[in-house]
Amino acid sequence: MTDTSGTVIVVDDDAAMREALQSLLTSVDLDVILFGSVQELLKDGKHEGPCCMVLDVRLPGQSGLDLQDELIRQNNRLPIIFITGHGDIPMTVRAMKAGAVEFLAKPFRDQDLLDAVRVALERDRSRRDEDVALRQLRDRFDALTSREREVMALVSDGMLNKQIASHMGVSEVTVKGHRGQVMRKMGARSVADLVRMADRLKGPSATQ
Amino acid sequence: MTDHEPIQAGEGLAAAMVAWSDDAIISKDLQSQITSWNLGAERLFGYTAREMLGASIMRVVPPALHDEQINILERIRRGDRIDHFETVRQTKHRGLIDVSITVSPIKDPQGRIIGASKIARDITELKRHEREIIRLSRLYGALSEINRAIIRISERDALFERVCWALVEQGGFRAVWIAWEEADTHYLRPVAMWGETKNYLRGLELYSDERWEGQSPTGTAFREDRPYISNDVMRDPATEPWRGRMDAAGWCACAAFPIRLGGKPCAILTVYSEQRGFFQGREVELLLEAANNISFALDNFAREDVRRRTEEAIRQERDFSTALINSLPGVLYVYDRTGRFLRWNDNFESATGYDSSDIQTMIPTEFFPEEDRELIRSRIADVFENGTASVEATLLSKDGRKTPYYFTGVRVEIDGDDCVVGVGLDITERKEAANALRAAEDSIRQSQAELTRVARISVLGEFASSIGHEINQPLAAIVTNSGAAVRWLERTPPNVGKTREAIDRIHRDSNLASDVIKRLRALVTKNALEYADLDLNRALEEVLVFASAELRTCGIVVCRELDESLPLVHGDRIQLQQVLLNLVMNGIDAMRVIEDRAGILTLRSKAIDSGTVIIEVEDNGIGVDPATAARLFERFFTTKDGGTGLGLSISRSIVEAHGGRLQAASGSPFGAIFRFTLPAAGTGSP
Repeated sequence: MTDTSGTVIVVDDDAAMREALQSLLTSVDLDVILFGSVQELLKDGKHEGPCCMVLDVRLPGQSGLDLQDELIRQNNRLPIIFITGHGDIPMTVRAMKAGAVEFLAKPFRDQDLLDAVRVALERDRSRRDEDVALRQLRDRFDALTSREREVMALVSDGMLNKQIASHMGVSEVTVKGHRGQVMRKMGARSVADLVRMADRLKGPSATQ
Repeated sequence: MTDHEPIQAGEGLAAAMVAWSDDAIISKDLQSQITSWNLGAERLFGYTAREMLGASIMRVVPPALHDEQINILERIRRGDRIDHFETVRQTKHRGLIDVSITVSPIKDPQGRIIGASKIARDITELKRHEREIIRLSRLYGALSEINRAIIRISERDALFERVCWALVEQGGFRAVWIAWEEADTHYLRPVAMWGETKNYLRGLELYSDERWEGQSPTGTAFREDRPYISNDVMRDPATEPWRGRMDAAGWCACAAFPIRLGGKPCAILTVYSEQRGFFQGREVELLLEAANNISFALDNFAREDVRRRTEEAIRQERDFSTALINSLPGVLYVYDRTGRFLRWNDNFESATGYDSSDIQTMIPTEFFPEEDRELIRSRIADVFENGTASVEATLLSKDGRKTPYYFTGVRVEIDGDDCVVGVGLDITERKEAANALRAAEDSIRQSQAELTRVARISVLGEFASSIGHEINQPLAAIVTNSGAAVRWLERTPPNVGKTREAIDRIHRDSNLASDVIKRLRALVTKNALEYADLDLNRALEEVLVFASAELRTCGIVVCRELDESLPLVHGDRIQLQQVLLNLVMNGIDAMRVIEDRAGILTLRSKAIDSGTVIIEVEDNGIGVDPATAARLFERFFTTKDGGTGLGLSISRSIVEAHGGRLQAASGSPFGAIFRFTLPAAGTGSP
């Protein structure tokens, strides 16, 4: 474990369970925020630092699965660990497909939960790192001229300079100049590096 | 007086004695020619010596006795002497007379028998007395025979027959008959007769009234209620029409004596004698006495008849009632205030095994075992006091057999005393039937209880996931807390405070789970009913624990409108919770499918009149289809997939067994309301 810090958001309508989870999670130095329902959670703001959620599937009013859908719609990728008193297979499948970290049936082993929490926090941490890197990458990409972006796209498609020049109707030398500018501006150490960057930029922007 | 040779041989004194003797002294020769005839002979026979000397002695011997006379002479010739020979002789004027004669042979000096001397004494008067005595003694004999018959014989015609017989066979009458007057026709109908009556009575019609056939001695005696004596029927004008008949029968005298009943003539006794002049003072007296005795007997018969008829009626009545009481299927008995048994039927003897001599000395309580006797005594007191009582008790027989009986007693007055007439019926079979029925009922009740339990488990089954959640929830908390506790301990330094907190929570949650399980177990375990005072509000809350997860899952809001001062009810908590559980489950099911509105389950409790508690479970679900509303409480009727159709029917049975009612009504605007009432504790609930 490189970093064990993080915040766990617990949503469970059972007070006893909330108390138990708080005790368990704080015993391993995690920060815990407790909520009795989704409504209470939504009233609360966002939290800094690595974060994950321990969510009871059955909740009065909006259920845990409903909240998961809602968060996905908001592109909130907060890792979720589901806990449930009576989970069934369809429910589990639905939750896992939607990206749940873990689906634990009550009662669960404390270690299982802590493991899941760790995975979730790690995932959140890397997601947060990734988010930062992507944002930097996009900032760089945004700094490119339209010619440079066109050249970058064609390079990452695997075209040679000659082909790009012919495609763009410019000289090969001009292509070389743009390409060098792209590599510098994007901070790519090699063509392969640039191709990976182009892929990453393509991903989330494609979903939006 | 004539001198006789043999007498000549005697002295003059002897001759004088013969001559003047009162006795007739006659002598005769062996040819029966009279040789001497003294004055006594003249007086006795009425013939003078002149008439008789030389005449045959046969002149004074009745022709019928000539042989006797010849026989006497024969014996004289042989030298015999005949002393005091009684015979009858013919007199000149007096007809036949009774004489006693002594005849001795007369011998000549050579000892040859040459004749006989005869001394004859008149014994007519003597003989008449003798005959009178004989006649009277025969009459006495007849009378005493009649009296014996009166005592012995109790039937009129038989008595009459015997009277006739006695008078003929003992009294020496030729014929005797008794006629009974037919009141309407006055015909004197012969009812008894004896002697030579056959020819006489044939075609004879005598009457008691004034007509000529009533003028006979018989008719006259009857009509005039006095004895009629006809000592010479041939000369009595009254006998004229029947004289020929009597003459033919050889009867010379007759007499008729009325026989009375209640002081009035009812029959007539007529007797006939062959002897003219038979009926003299003494004879009439005796016959009159006989007739009076017979009258007395008839009166006695009448009295006897009434008595007999009464007795007969009583006997028949008794026979009838005996037959009646013996035909009864049970035992019957009558006893008085002292407990003495007056009457009982055969069944009583056979059922108790005691015979009548036992029963006579026993009292009612002795027919029961010791432990029943106090009860029997009080029931006997009841029946004497109130006129009727009944009791179920064990009849103890002589040989110790015990049989259950049902007794009913009624007080009756017998001869002015209060008595009890009781009947008892053997109820062994009824008891056995009742036991069998009870056993059957027990088994039905048992299966009912089992069914109720199954239904309870079944409705709990519907709550299974909900109940699982209720147990799982604290369990999950416990597991999590225990993990936390370990981790707080493993820290350096161990955080004892946090560990303790976790363990406290474990303790708390364990109890929580344990409570749920306990309640659940109570609901599913086969328990005998336990009636106790209980708070329905609390019972309802406990039930809601089982349902809470389900309610949450279905998004149903529970709304409580509970009366905090609800009176306790008396009942079995488990069964009443089963009812509540059923109603809550039904409410949840009714709201499971609605989408246009939020499900609300309203639970109400209230008291009315402080004597009745009402519980309502209202939902705003799909409601009750009016088409099936009537069948809602029918057993095995269900509208749910997989429903048993037992929930509501059993719930209703439970509520009714607790003295309440369970009803359904439509909610407004949606859903249904199930309402049940229970009597508050201490208001006569079961």
